[in-house]
Amino acid sequence: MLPTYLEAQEAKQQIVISFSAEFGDHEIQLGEPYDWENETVSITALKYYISNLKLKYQGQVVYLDNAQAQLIDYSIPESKQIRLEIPEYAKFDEVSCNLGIDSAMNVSGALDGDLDPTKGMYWTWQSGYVNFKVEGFSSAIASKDGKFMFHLGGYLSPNLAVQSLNFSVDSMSEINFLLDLDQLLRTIDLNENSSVMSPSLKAVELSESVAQSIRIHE
Amino acid sequence: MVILFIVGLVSVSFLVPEENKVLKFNYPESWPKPVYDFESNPLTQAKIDLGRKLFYDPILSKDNMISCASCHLSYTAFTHVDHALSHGVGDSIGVRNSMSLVNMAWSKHFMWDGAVNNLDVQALAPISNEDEMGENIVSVIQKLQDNNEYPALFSKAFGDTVISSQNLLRAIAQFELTFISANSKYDKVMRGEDQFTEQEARGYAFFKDKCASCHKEPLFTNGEFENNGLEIDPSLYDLGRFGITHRSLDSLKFKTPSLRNVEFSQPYMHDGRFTSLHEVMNHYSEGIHYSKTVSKHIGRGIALTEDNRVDVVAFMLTLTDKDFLFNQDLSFPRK
Repeated sequence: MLPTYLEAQEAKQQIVISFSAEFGDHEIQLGEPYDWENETVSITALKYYISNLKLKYQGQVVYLDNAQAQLIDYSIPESKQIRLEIPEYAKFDEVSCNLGIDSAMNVSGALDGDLDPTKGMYWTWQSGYVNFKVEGFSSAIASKDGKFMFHLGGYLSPNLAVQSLNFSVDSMSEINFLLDLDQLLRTIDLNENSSVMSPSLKAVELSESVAQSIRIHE
Repeated sequence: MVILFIVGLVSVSFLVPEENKVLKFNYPESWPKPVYDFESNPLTQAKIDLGRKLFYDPILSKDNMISCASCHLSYTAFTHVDHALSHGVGDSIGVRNSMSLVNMAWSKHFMWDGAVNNLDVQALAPISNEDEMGENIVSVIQKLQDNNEYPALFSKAFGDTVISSQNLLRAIAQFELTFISANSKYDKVMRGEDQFTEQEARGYAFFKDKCASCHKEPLFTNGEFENNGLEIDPSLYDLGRFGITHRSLDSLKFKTPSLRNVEFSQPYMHDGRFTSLHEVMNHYSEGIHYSKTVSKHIGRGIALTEDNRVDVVAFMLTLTDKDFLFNQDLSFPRK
């Protein structure tokens, strides 16, 4: 037993990290059609993993999230937030995380929580997590039903798809990661390429485009 | 032969039911260390027994007709004898010959192309493959949860009646980890308990010189991917490891299979194209289809005289382990 004065909780501050996605200036609603660049586009699924979340001050890690990974799923509103508790006086000037799952975690066998293969983010015919999944429809796609599907992942070099995100931030209690779908879709010619479903150099290239389409919402 | 024996801390052992005591994974002293991470999934008899029931239960497939054992029969070295390509739900036929399952704890990669990187997640592949079990893991868990036996068995093994994919997969992996074959005539000779015939000894000498770089003792595989000079079958167009890595240096490479119990695991090769070991000998001697990625140990072929072929086959038959093939602990669980 510790003396009671040592059990007293150190004062904490709450940091809320939220994840949003916009089309134009609209926060997207799944299944909703948007007019975009002479097309009609809708997003039916948007899911991705955030892992290895850290807060840093002058290059030193001041907070490391213990959770192995969080699945951000736009169909589940409560999944779009990560709440952290850090010491009240801790300062930070940088937030960093991985978009996706690193190689070590990809070879760690049957995992649970958000990494449970029942979450639909694990390939079965070959081991490995889908880091980022976006599916939807576009009138620009001539073939079939106009559906596009991007399941981006891969943990083996040279098809390693996990992306590192690093942003300078002031010590603020709310940090919003914004995925700019305008910018992302501008990098993909949907009519040319409407589906990437397995690890490949194309998946790596698209993963880089996704990372470049994420910024901190001021 | 007792492979597994009880350790368990004396101080707490009387509190833990026998079936939940952590078992030590026991294997021949001269063997390399297993690669499986037993710390993340400690063996217990309750978990092994649950895995065994699951392995033999067609509930894992979409039409409740195909079990793991449909293509991996214990009496034939856990493979599907006489079938070049594996069969699945609705009489569908897959694209590869089912692999023999043996000494799984030493395997770094699973499947002919190494698509699977950990034994724990291997079962996801056949469960989900349309030409194998044609199911999905979410539906399998629901069926098991609704079954009148499984919730209690998962509770006994994992302390939770709610069935998770992690517990399901770890139980199947535990049963497969007990597929240890280490008591063939070859093993007895190595332990000084038996002797090769002159012919087997000649075959062994040739084997060590020309075959053992890939079929490395004592597991009889180097665990790597090799192109052994098979001409590509245009109807399957299977590029092997290349399909996973997309690296040209991996084109036409397949996992080196263990040769243990090879007498019983026919047909041979990833597409089951050879039905006899003599055909396999002929392939290595005269049938090599040379390309850039062919193993340097094979080159344009390994010259075998007619005598060499008979000798090497005689040696390979010493890898038959009847204690393993007819081990009642590995066969269909009778109540």
